[in-house]
Amino acid sequence: MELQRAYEELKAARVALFAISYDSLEILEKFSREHHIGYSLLSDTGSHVIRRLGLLNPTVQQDHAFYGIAPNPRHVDLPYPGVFVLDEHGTVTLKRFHESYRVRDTGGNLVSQVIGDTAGSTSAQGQEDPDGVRIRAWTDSPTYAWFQQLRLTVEVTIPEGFHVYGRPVLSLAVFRDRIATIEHGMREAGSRNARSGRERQGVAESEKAGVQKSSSGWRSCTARSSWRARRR
Amino acid sequence: MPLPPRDFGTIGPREGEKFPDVVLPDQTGSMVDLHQTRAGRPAVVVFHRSAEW
Repeated sequence: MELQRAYEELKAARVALFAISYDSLEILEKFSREHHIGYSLLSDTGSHVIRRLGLLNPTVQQDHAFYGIAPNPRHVDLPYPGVFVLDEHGTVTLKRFHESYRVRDTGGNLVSQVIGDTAGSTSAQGQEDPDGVRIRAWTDSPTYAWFQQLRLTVEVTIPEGFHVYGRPVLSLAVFRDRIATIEHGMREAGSRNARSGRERQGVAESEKAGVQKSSSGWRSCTARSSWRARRR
Repeated sequence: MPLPPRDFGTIGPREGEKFPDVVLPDQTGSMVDLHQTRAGRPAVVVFHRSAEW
């Protein structure tokens, strides 16, 4: 279970993890036992806490119809599915919600958001353009399943003498024959301005290696990023 | 017709605010006070649909 894997990392980083649902204690006990869950599964039977926190989704039936989920009497009193990250004082520092119950964060996505990006996958590949601008990209999970939300990190390293202005744009990611919208985090390396007034435009492509073939046949992710690097 | 976009910033506890007090039983049957159990650590609180489906 994705969240259980994330729990191991979170625990090591001294971050607590709580999951809240309207499930009864019996259901949670069974689930916890079957999936060897180490973190707290909190039972909000009747969705009272969900309601009090203002997280009740009043349009579940409508949402599910929109997302093609069959109507079901169990789909009541559901919260908006999402995540809150709290700092050591209990203050909300991040919240992430999904439009659809079918979209789930990967565990790695969650961990990287809370603990911070790691140095990047060792299998990440990069490319350098003639000006020495280097780009690397990696996803947070080597596999992809339907409706999973991957985190794509694109790291752009700019040598001294260059100034990057404007926001580098991740223009597209292609999964075989379909374009998927994925969230991405960007880490930019700053640089000092240099003397001359030339402007260069660069485009680099980076291919993430090590992505396994999933049942949908997705093999690799190509991220294209374009930016302007200017000598000033 | 697509659903109108929601402003999740205003839904539920907001960024910059203290997360409300939550006291609920966990899978072992023990009552868990979220902030007390957190014990000064950062935390991740996940709201999801059901463990059953």
